[in-house]
Amino acid sequence: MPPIRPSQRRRAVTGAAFLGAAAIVMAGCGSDNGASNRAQSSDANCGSGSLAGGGSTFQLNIQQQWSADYRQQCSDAQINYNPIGSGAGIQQFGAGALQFAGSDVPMLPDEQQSADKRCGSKALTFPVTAGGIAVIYNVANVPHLKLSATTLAGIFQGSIKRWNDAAIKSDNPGVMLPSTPVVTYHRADGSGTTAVFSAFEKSAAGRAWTLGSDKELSWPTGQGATGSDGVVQGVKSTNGGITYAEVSYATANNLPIATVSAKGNHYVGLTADTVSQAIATKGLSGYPLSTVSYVIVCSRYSSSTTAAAVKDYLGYALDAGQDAAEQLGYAPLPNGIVMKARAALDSVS
Amino acid sequence: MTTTPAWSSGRRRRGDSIYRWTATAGGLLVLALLGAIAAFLVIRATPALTSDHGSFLTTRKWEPDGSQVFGIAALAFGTVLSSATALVIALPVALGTALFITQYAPRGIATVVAYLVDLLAAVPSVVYGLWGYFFLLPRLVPVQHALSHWLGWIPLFSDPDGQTATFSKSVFGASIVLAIMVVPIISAISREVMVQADSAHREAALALGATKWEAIRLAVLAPSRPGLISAAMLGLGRALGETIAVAIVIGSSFGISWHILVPGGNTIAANIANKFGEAGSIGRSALIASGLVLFLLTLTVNLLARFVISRSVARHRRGAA
Repeated sequence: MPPIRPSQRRRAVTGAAFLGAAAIVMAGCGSDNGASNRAQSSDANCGSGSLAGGGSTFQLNIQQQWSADYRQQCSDAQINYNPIGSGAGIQQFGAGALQFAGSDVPMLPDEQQSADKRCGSKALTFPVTAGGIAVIYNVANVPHLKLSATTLAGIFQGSIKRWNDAAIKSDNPGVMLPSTPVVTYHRADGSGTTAVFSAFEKSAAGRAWTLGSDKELSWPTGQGATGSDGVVQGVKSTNGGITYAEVSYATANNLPIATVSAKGNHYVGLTADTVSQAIATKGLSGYPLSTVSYVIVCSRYSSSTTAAAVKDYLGYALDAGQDAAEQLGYAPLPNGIVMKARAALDSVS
Repeated sequence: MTTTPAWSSGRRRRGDSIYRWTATAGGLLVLALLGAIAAFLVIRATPALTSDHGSFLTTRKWEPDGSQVFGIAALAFGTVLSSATALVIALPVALGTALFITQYAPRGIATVVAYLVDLLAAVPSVVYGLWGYFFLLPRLVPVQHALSHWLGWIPLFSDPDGQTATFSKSVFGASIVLAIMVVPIISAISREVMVQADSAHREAALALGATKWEAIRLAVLAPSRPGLISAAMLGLGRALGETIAVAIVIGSSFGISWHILVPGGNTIAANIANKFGEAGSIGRSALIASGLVLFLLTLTVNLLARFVISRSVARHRRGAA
């Protein structure tokens, strides 16, 4: 939805301000193996010419940051990332219009086929970034809120209608809750965020969650909006609103995040650290919720300059680029996953 | 088209035949285009229709890329409900404007008002959507709340869970935005139709002692009726297909509910706009299938309009004879 743009741009700009600082910090804390690799690759293999990427809107902020940072060291390179949505990104990649695609979900078998055909070789998918998904709400005078997975199921399926419902009260003993109606916002477009949120609800709330788990759900009630910014804008303008979205949108809009328990009384908060840990240990269905976002590339490009540019740019993203994640509201990938992704990228030629 | 007109009894000129073939080709091209669009929709919709695990016409879910259960019931219902509501709101305004411009207003004011109404049609629909979302919806809260409070006993306006007290993306909001968008079309066509009404009839009615309103009713509205119906139907067609403005303003949920004030609602076109970017291959095909339904829906509305007009014209002729 068009109203997304301004605030995203604003964030990208604040991100750019911290860019210089990140570069300095980078040199000091080369905790992962790639730091030295990058130093030589940035000079020797600098890609030149322009690279067309596109897809996942989730990746937009960090891709913009990466391409701006990357241009500082490789001034000839021009990386464009067009946020057309994961599905459209995969399709355009298969049609040959994009040299790499960003997607929140891996490709389906028939999409993989057309991507392989376009590449004339196997198309590779590997993660480049991750993000925590928060339950974001707006209830006047309630700065802290705990919600269990079952209560969340009731809220998003329309059976819990007011904020002073018994279920919410029992999650939050001693908290004064108003009788404001609950207004849920969900994604109107298909979204990896919806997939992750519903997968969590399905596993944690069990039978209480009846909508299944998918990129798009048939929400019986509530209001839809496009993009994470759309749903969060909705919550921001509604006293009593609640939604799920990447953490960065909560901080950008000054909205509180609920702590969530999958089972029992174990409520967990959400930081870049806990998200990275959750990805490393529990996969994607544990809490804190997280989404991993991928890029899709050809394993063999017909032009060697394209191959070099793709390798160098994404190599940068997997390495120094990970440090940009936290400030932009993303979570850095755990080391184990970065290593696997690098191995996949190294096989590109 | 095939019979030779009587006046061309002489030698046929070269220019004539060129003109004739160009005109025929133009006409055929339109038909071919329409056929091509229908064929495209059917071909691209087939993969989804054959792999649908639900019933395409009655299922209220939309999960083509996952469980492959999807159907247009909720979407088609929302499309018709929002467009019909929009028409109910727009029609009195549009006809009133047209009557004012053609019958009541002094010439100078009429030109200005007509120009301004036409200008409404020049506003891009995405602007209407943004305006609706950021300006209209927040200010609509007291209105929808009052409506549900006083008229809540009518199912259309009822609010069982007290949700109208807050900002809501609902069928009501979408209908108002749609109404504003169709007013210029309905009003422009109505105006053209009313201007053509024979002024001698109106003067005759006035001379016979009719009040101004009676004269307008008898000598302007009655003969214009087929034209006015066609204006309303064209407006309805525009409302049915309107995409981006509705996608921004409506609630995008998948229930079937008559409560137009409560958050929710969805339309075929808005659903296509919302879901296309992230849809997989079956998802895209399913969206095209829903587009086919919309195509048939608007086609039906237009055919119905033709039917009503032709009947009404026939009756009017009989009445006049």
